[in-house]
Amino acid sequence: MSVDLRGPAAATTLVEAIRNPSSLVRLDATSWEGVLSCARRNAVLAYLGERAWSQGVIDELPEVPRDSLLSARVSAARLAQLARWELDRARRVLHAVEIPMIALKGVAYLLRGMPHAATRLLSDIDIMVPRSSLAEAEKLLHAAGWRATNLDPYDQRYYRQWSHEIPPLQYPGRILALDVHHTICPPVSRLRPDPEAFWAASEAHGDSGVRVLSPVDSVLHAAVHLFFDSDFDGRFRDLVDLHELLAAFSADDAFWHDLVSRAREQGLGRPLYYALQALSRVLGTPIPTATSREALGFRPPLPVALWMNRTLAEVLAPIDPQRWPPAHRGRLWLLYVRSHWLRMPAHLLVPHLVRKSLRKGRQYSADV
Amino acid sequence: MKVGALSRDEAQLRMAASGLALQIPPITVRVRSPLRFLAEQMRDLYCDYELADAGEFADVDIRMLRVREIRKWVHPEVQFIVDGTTPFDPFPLAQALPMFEWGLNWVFAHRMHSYLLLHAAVVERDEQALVLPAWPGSGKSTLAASLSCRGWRYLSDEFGAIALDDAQVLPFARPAALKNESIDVMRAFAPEAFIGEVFPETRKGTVAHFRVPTQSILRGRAPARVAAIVFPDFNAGAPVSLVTLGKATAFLKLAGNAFNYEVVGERGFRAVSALVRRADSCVLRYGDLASAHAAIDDVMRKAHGQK
Repeated sequence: MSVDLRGPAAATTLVEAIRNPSSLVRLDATSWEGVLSCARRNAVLAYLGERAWSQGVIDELPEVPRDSLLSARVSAARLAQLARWELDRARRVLHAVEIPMIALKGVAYLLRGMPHAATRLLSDIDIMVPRSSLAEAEKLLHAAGWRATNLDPYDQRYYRQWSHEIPPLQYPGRILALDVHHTICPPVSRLRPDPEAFWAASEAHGDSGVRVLSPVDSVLHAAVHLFFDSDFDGRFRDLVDLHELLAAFSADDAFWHDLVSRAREQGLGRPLYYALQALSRVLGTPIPTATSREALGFRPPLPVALWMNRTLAEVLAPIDPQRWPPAHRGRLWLLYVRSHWLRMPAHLLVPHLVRKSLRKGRQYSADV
Repeated sequence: MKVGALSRDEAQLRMAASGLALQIPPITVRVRSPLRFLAEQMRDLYCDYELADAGEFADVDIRMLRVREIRKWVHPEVQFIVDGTTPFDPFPLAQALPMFEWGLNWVFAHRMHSYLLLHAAVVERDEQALVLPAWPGSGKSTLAASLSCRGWRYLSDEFGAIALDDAQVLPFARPAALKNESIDVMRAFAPEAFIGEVFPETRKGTVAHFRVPTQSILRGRAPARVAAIVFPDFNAGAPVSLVTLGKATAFLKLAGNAFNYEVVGERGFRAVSALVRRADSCVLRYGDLASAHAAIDDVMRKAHGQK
């Protein structure tokens, strides 16, 4: 049995298929099995279906994989519909007292009508309100029926003191959670972009009362998110988001130049540098030479850059579903510590990680 | 080649290496596991199913592996791995088979959105399919298993997979999960039926699996036309009664009972409409299998007369 086609080679086939969906037409049964499984593991099956659909190759595919692709697309589209609904419900509450809101990440891509948006397997929607309105927004959402998800007192305190969002809210009986942010980076982290500047550059979405980040700010937010979220498992999906954002926004000639200068202005050059490196290494995303050269100015000292770029390319590439137990645990742990290092000062970080690692033992083997 | 053609050792070896690629129409499921007792139990339950070749496409790839952790030596556990993820907490090792069966149901319910998936048992006789939609505990598995021992074709005890274009029902014929008292009820009703090992104290109580009759498996993936919809409602000792449902009520009950009605959207709405227009619906209250069978015979005679 040719295990390889289902194993590590599947990740390569998947990346190739995302870049060039017509490559799917040539796959044999074993390769199909590997690609579908790998796409599922990395939450991009619906996206692959969308790519095959929009590039007009879907009808040339064999029946079984085609059904899987279409089925995944249908399922993700349902989540997208729920995301719009959840956003609208939150908007009704906040709009009544004129608290402005910016839709972030997945639900913002939906509002922008980006084709990949309806293929994300959403579990929550993210919105941002001004810090000065945060307490009132939380109170109003509670009064309107949302409930704080069940967190222990330590997690509650973690969110409130050190995080850039309040504990996730959940409306009983609904599938998607609601994350309310007041900025895009944790306030105790080393990165301190100015939230006012995001508000000033944000764009109204029709006359709905909901705003979205400007194109360059959307990209910077996605880049920050890629390296700040402590969970490095399955981040290929987030890299795909960035890939799509760049493809959509770079139609504007001024985009690349604006992106680099905005990163400089907001002190977000480092995450942008890493994001561009990872994109070009993993997905072969086209990036203008001038932009790559300018981004070098954001590079950390060379040994750090070499290690980080290699590690990121490894952990952001599609995860091989055949490998069990999953690989990269050691490096994932280092990156986990690093993401916290960026987030929290050391005197807060060390006790936090000790606490987390003690607690983790119980469920470790089950949900790696 | 059929699973039953493998010797005990061959089944174990194959399952530990390239896996058993079971053709369970409409899909192929590859199971890999080094657990010898699981290979044996699966060989018994799935003996009439065709095996796909190792190089053929499998829709679902499942591994059942023992949890490797020192503290699990005393209370060994097993995990269900699909596409390199573990959607469930581990089960006690001895319950690997019930875990596989529930896990495969979960995968089917989450993936197969090219069908409307009713939460229903389905049987068929003379080209007339009977759909038995119900929540757990209402006796649909037992009813389907018992009917299949009296000449009906068994399509499923869990999924009414309705094609979205013509509202025909497709089989997903897997062992029926009998729970608690229904295990003995089935043994008494059909002593010739094969019922696998009994698993006490699972998350859903005591469970044993009823093997799908060979004749039903031989029908393969042939779809069937839905002729009647009967919502079973088991109450021990209760007298049998049939209450006909209006089309609108039947629509709401059927749509509300589907796994993926909201996901498939408008096409699901159309499929449910087609089903309730085509077939009459009723609620069947019953307290024993014999009277339920008699009532179902009445329902089917009536459906046949209307055709």
